[in-house]
Amino acid sequence: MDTRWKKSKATGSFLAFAAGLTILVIHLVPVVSMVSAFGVDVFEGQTDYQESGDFRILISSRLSDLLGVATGGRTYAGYNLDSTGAAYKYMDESYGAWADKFLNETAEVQEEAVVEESAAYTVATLEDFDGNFDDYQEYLIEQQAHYDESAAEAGYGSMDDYDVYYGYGGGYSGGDQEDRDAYMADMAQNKNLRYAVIYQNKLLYSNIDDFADKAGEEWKGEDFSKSLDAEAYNFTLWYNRAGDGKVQIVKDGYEEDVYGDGVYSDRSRWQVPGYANFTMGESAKDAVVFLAAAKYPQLYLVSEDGRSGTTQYGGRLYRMRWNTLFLASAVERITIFMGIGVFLLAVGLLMRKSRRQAVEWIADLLAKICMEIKLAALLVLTILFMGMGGDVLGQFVWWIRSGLVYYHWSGDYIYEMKRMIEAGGYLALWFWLIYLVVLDWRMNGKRQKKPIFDLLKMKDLKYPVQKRLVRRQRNTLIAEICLLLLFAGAVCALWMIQGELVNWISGGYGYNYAYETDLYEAVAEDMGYPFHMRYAYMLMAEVIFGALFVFTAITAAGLKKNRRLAVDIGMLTDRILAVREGELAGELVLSGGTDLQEAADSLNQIQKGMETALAEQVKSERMKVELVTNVSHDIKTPLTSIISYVELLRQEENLPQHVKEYVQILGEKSERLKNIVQDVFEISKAASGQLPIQMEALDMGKLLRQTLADMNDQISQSTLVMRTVIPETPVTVLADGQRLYRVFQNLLQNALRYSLEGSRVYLALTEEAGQAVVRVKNTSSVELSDGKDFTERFVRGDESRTDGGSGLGLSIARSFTEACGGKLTVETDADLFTVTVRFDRAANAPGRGEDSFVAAGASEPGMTGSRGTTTPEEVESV
Amino acid sequence: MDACVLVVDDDREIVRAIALLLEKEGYRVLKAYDGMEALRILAESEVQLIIMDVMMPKLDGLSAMMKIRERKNLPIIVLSAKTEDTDKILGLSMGADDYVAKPFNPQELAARVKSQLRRYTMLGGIHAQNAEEEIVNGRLCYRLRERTLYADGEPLRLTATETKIMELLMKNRGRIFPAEEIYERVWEEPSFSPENTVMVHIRHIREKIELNPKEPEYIKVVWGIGYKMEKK
Repeated sequence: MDTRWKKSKATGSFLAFAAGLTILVIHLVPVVSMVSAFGVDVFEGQTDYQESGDFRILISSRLSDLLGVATGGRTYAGYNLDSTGAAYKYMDESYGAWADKFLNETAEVQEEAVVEESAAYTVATLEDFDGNFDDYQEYLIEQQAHYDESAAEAGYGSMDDYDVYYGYGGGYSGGDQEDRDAYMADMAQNKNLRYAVIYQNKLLYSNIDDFADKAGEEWKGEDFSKSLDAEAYNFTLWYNRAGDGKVQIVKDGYEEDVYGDGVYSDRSRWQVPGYANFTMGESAKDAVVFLAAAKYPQLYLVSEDGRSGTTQYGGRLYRMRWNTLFLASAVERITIFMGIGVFLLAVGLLMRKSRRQAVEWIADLLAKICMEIKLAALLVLTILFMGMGGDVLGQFVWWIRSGLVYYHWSGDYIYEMKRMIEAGGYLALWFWLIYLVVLDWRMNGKRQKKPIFDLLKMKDLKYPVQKRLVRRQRNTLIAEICLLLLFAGAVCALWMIQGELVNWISGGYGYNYAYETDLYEAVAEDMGYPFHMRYAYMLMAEVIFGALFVFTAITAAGLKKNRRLAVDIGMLTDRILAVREGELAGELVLSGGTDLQEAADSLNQIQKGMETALAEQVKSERMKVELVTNVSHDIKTPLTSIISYVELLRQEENLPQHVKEYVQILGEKSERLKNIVQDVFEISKAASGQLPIQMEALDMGKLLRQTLADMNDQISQSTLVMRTVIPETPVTVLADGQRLYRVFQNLLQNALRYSLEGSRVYLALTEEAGQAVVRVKNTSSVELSDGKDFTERFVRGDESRTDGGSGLGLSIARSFTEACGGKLTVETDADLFTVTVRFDRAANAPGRGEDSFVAAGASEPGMTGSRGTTTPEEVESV
Repeated sequence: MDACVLVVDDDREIVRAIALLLEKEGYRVLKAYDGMEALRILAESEVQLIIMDVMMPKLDGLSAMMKIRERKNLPIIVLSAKTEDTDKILGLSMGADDYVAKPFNPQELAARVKSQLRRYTMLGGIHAQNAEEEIVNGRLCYRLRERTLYADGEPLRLTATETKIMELLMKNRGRIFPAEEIYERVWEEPSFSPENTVMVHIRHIREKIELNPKEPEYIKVVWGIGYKMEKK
């Protein structure tokens, strides 16, 4: 239960962490974009569109237009009209917001520079308020002209078509009556903005229902707002109503303070005439203008005959309102989501321990997937994301760099918002992908499963080292060449697409080329992608290509050089292996002048040193054996005399009794001395590995029984009781029977000699894990000291050395056992003395090559079978 | 018994000890202290057996033996402090009739001298009877009809069981018999723990036929397998 709670806690904490982080990452894009575009004020959640700067700009520009119309000046109005379709709409609708932002920015710069002079700002020159603004206008006009020209040249239909399609009102910008009438006719369709234009007390234009047909009549000071529903048109503006050249604004029944301190600056709310430093020209003093804006603007559409499409009027105010509402609700929603995200993240961060647990589970899960699958998945996901949301980053930068403002008051802002969320989603996906990769890399560094890579590595390891090195380098070269070809292909493709190569191949610079280049330039520049930049990109690509080529060439050259080094390394490693195998003759000679010369020289020296050491060791070993042989020979010769004369003494008949006893003692001791000399000789031979061994398959059980029978007299003479457990079935081992007999003879003699009187000696033969194991256990008569190796030469339980043994029994037993390939160990536990002899079991039945014999099972008399015979194998133990 | 034995060793004390021992047994003994001297004495006197050390000054035992063998066929017993099997084999292959390692048991040496002399002087003259009726193996001879085992031409007193075992082994010289088989074929009943019984009998036989029962030459144990009669 407890673990389950812990489990769900861990899962919960991680989910909270993940969800919170995801929400925050998703909303990062819209929040940054919006704050960047509108400033932090966007979070105030303004819902009244008439409170926006955009609205004020629109109203003041309309006022200037109408004043222009009234006084018979130029209008430039074509771009401020809210008629028609897509392309136009973007330019027009976005302009206001752009200007709004632009104004704010320039205001900050010019804050100190208060315009003191009441310069003659006329309606006609209003558009000149800033050089940049002028440039923008000019750019648009020029572009239009350019398009028209290109289109005409290409034969893409008449100007009228463009006029309809784009809604360009090129004609409006003129200064004659006809233009003004056309402009006003269009403007009248927009019922969101009611107006009345009076000049010298004569009503010129109006789209207020009561006055629409009273153009040319005298204005007797009627209040136009009375003819309008005050609820529906809650914003009214009068210009020069009282003949003072000032603007009067009433909103929701309250008059607004238009002028503030009466001095116009870039910070002023309303950019209208009437300030101390912003007065109207003489002609405008006779004009009166009324404007009213709808509280809830609508779309007014006219489907026109003979023209393709529908003309839209009043869209600008309509979108202005809806976008304001949408922005407000979006801000609200985003704020709520961000709040939730922060809360979840905080919860996840606080439950650190549980979260870490969950992270470990995820890491475990990731570790179970092989590296190759993960890499493939990462590749696929990367390509997928590149395809789907690859432009997210560019788009993000575009949004931040005020690009968003261009969409601000357009109907596409909702769509743009969706795209931002989508972009945020991609960002989140990227984030989590990177998170998982980093997590996997950090937590599962060493325990990655990578069967294919391992297989490749194993395959690689099968090659000798020099081949491995060359292969690795060759792979690098191949990869580089592939990259080079790929890059070359990409550059070629780029050229092809640009059309240059095609033209170049097909014969150069014809008309089409000129036209296309022209068009490219136009389009490229229109897209904010200057034509000359393309050459820069091409140049960059070529530089990269060149660098790649040089790099590949260097690798190729290095490969050739390194091949020689690799061969040397291979020779060096081969030589090291040979030395390890014991081959010490011969010197390593490299191709010379390589980096490895020093290493090779060192190896040669080591080799020489080892050779000398080994030769010395062999020599000293031989000398040791020779010494023992000579010494034992020198001992044996006088011993022979001693034994012989003792014998002669023994044969003397007239000796007194006590002398006969002396002679007896002399005889026994000389006999013992003889045995010791014999033992020392044998053990020194066994230790130096010069003991001849004749291996054969034999039955360990039988050998033990034979040994016991052979020693029967000694055993029965002792006070000890022999307890033996020897299986009847043969236990076959491979050993030298004569030596093994000596082993057990020594062990039993040892037991007989050093056991407590009247105690039992246990001899058992068992099979353990494919081994024949003989154990001799006896109770020691003297106290055994711990930590003594009884198989060492001249070590015995009784330190006094007065017993009959040579102190070599166990040592010989161990030497002989090991010479036969077995293992002898001694254990003591209190007074219990246990010797264990182990031999690997042999498959063959006992047998001896030269002599035929009948195996134990074949009991038929006279049968001379040769079952189970083996050829004798003579093994010189090393 | 006035057989003459030549004892050759550079160690005068050993020569003297051997001479004393053999003289007590009733042999006439000549002494030499190197190979050259031995050859000279051999040329001058009638000698029936030589006991000779291997390592001697002037002329070593093996070279002297080769020279002797060029002209004479008398038995030679080699003495040596070298106990390597290879030394033994080398000595025997170069013409020695027996090989005794130093330090030796004096009584064993006397027994070997007696055995060699008996075979040289007596058996050499006795004509072999019907080949089918006797089995000869080195010092041993088993007469089938008599059911008697002879060692150095002298009949041995074996019990009935011992004779049966010897007949089996003499008939199958060189073959290894597991204890079970010996038991079943001699006692003619199934064996139960035959190792001890067989071993006891073999030990008794060895005491009768071997010169040194502790280092048997004829009946050998093949450890872990069985027993066999060595082929001589």
